[in-house]
Amino acid sequence: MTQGLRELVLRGLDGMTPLGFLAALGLVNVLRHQAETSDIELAWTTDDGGWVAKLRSSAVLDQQGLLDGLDRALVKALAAHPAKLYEAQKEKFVSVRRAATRFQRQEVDFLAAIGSNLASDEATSQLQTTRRDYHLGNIVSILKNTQRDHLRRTLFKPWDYADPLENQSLHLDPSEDRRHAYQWNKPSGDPNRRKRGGMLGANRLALEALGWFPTWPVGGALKTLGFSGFGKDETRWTWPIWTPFVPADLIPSLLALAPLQDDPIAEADRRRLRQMGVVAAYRVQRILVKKTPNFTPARKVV
Amino acid sequence: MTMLTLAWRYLTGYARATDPATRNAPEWPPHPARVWLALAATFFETGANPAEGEALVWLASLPDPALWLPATGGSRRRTTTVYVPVNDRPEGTGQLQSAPLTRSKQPRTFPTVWVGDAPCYLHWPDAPGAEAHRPALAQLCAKVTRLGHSASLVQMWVADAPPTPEAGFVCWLPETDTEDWLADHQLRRLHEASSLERLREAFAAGRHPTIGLATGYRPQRDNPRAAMTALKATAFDQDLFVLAQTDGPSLPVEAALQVTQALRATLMRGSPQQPPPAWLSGHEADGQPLADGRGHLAFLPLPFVGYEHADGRLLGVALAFPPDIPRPKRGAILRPSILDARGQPAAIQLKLGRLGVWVLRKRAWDDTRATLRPETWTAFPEGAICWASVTPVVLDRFPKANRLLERAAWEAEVGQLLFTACRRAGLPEPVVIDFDPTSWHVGAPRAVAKERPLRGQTLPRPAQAKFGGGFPPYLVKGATAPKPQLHVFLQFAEPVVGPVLLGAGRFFGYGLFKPLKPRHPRS
Repeated sequence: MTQGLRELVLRGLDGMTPLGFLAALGLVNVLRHQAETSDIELAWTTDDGGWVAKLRSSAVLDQQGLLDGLDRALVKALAAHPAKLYEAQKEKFVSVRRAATRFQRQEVDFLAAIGSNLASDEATSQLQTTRRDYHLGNIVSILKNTQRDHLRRTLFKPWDYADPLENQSLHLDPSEDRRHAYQWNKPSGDPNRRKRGGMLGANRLALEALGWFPTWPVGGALKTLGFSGFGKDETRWTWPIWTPFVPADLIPSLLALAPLQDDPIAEADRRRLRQMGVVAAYRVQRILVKKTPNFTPARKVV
Repeated sequence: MTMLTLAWRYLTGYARATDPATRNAPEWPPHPARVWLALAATFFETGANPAEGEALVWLASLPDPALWLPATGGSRRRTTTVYVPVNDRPEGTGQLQSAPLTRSKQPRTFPTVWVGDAPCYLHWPDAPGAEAHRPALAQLCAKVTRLGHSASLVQMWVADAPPTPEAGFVCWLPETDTEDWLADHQLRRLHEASSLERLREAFAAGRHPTIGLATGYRPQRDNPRAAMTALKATAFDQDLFVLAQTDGPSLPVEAALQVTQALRATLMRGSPQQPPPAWLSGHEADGQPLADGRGHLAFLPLPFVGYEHADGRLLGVALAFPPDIPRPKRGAILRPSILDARGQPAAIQLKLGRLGVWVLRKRAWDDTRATLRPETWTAFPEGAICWASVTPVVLDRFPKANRLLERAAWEAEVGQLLFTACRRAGLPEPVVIDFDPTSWHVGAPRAVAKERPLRGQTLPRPAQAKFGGGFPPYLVKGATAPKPQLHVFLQFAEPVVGPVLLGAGRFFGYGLFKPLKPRHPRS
C-alpha cells in the first residue's frame, strides 16, 4: 500500500517547540493544496534528542522540490492571504461563509481561527501571542520578507535563530520570553532584536497552520482548539506527537483529542492515545510577561 | 557485566538549575542529560580531546541510567522573587550616568535545592565498553566545575560502585509502571541529549542546547523491604499515602480524632466493595474485630511539630497500609474516594460538625512541606534510633499500681505495658523508654489537658477547670472511663523504619511517633 511513496525527514522542524510544531502543520497545509502533494502525510520521528517532522507523499520529495513548491505557493502580499480578514472581520463573516466551498475553504477556516461574529472585537485567539496593535503589521512583514533561504534553514537545519525579531514575529517561540532581568539589554529597544533571535521561515509556515485552530466564543472571550483554561496563569496548549503517518485531513482530529486537555492525563486515556499512535504530548503555558503573552518551554505530559 | 557510575558533589551544598519548563522552579532530581551536557561543556572548553569526545558519544548511546540521590537532599524552599539591578544605561542627566541608583531593578528568581554534602550518582548497571572509556571519562570528570548554573559548583568523578540504601541514598529509576496511580510520578527527561555536532552548531549560533525526549523517574519503593534488610520496620508499610488539606479551617492536632474518624467513615462509604474489606474496616464481614493478627489501615494525623516555630497545626492525614495488601488492591478500594472520574485527585470533604468542613486531596508530588513528606514520619530509608510521640500513647489497660501512692511500681508497670505495645506493633524492644505528659516535640500539645479544682468549691468532688492545651481522652469502644494517655520517648539499639504507632488508639492517629535526633531522655 505504501509502494511508491517517498519520505523526507525535516530535521529543522522540532515538534517539541510550539513554533516548530506549527511550522510543520503549516507546511502540510500548504502542500496538501498543491496537486502533486495532495496526498501528503505527516509523522514524527526521533532525531538527535527530539521529535522531528517526517513527510510522506507519492510525489518526489526532496529539498529542492519542496522549496520550489513553497516558492510557488506562499504569497507575499496581505491582500492575497487569508490574514487580510483581520481587518473588518464581522462584515466579512457572511460573505466569506457563502463563498466557501468544500475544496476552497482556506478563508473560512482562517476566519474561524481568528474570531467569531458572536464574540467582541477585542477577543483574540488564544494562539495569538503578539499584542493586538502589532499583530497585523508583523504578519505583513513576515509575508513580505520571507525568502527561500529562510525556509531552507527552517526546514532542513537546526534552527540558528539568525533572523531579526523586530516587527516580524508571531511571538510563538518560548525563546522570545525576554524578561529584563535575564538579558543584557532592556527588552524595548533591544538592538539585538533587529539583528537576530527569530526564525522567519518558521513564522511564515506557522501562519499557514492557524486555520487548523478554530475558535469559539465562551463568556465573551475566545476559546481555541487545543487550549484549556483561561486567564494569565491557567491557559495551556497541549499538542500530540504521533509516529504513524497521518493524512492531512486527519490532523485536526488529533489536535482536538479531548484527553489531551486533562491534567494529569489519566492512564486509561494515555493507553488509548498510545493505541492511536500518539506517543507523546507536549504542553506549554500561556503566561503574561508584563503586557505581552508568551509561551513557556514545552513540558512533556504523556 | 561492566557497570559505570558517575558521581558528583555540590561543593556549596546547593544545586542551582532551573526547570527547563518553568523559570521559577528548580530542577530536581537533576536531569541525567544535564550531567552529560556539563561533561560536553568541559570537553569543548578544555581542548576537545578526541578520546574524551569518543567517551561522550559512547555515553550518550547508553540506556537511561539509575539515579542515586541522598535521601535527605532535594528539599526546596519557597521561590522568592528578588529585584536585581539591570545592565541598562542609566537614564537621567549626564552627571548621573554612572550612579547605580538610577538603574532600574527587575524581578527574577534563583531556584535552588538543598542537597548537602553527600554525593549524587548516575549508575548504569550494564555499560558494555566502559573499561575502554573509563580513563577518558575520569579525566573529563576531574575537569568539570559546575552542573547547571555557574554558581552550582561541583566536584565530579568516576565512582567504583553506586551507594546503598543503608548509607542514606534513594535510587530513582526510569518509570516503567505507569499503572500505579498511588505513586508520586515525577516527570524527568530521558538521558538523550543532542549530539556533539548539534551542540557545536548551537554554540556557534549562540544558543543554549535543548534536551528532548522525556520519561518519568520515580524513587524505587517497589520492594523497599528488600532494600533495607538490615533495618527493622513496623507492622505498617512505610509507603504512606498522604492527603493534604486544601480547604477548610485550620485545626489543631488535638482535633486529630475527629478528622481521622471522619476520614475513615468517608473511605468506608466510598468503597466499591460493601461491606468494605477487613484491611480497611478492621472488622470481619460479620462485624467482629480482626483477631487473627492481620493488620488494617491506620490513619495518621500530620501536624506541624518538631521545628522551632511549630504550632501543632494539622496539615493533612496519611494512610498507613498493612504491608501484605498489594498496591492494586489498595487502589481498587480507595480510588473512587480519592480520584475523580478522570483520574485526577478529588476533593475529599470531611464534615466535622462545629469544627466546619475540612477538604483533603492527594498530596501533589512537588509539595515541598516536610510535614507532608512520608519520610518525615518513617525515616525511610535510613531509619531512626530515637522516636518520640506527637500524639499521646493510650495504654492498653489500666495499671494496677496507684500513680500517686505507688509511683515506682506504677512507672514499672507502665514501662512493661509500653514494652508489650512495642512487641505488638512489630517493633524491636527499645533500650530506653521514657514517658511524660509533655511531648518531646516542639509544638505537640500535652498528652492530657491540665486541670485544677474550681476555686471556692467545697464539695467532696469539686468541678475541674481545664487550663492549657492537651489532647482529649481516647475512649475505647465499650469502656466507661478513658485509659491513661502519655507522651513516650523510645530509643532502639538499631535504626527503625516507621511509621511507629503504639497504644490503643494507634489506628486513629493516637500514639503516633516522629523521629527525634539522638539525645538523652529527660529522666
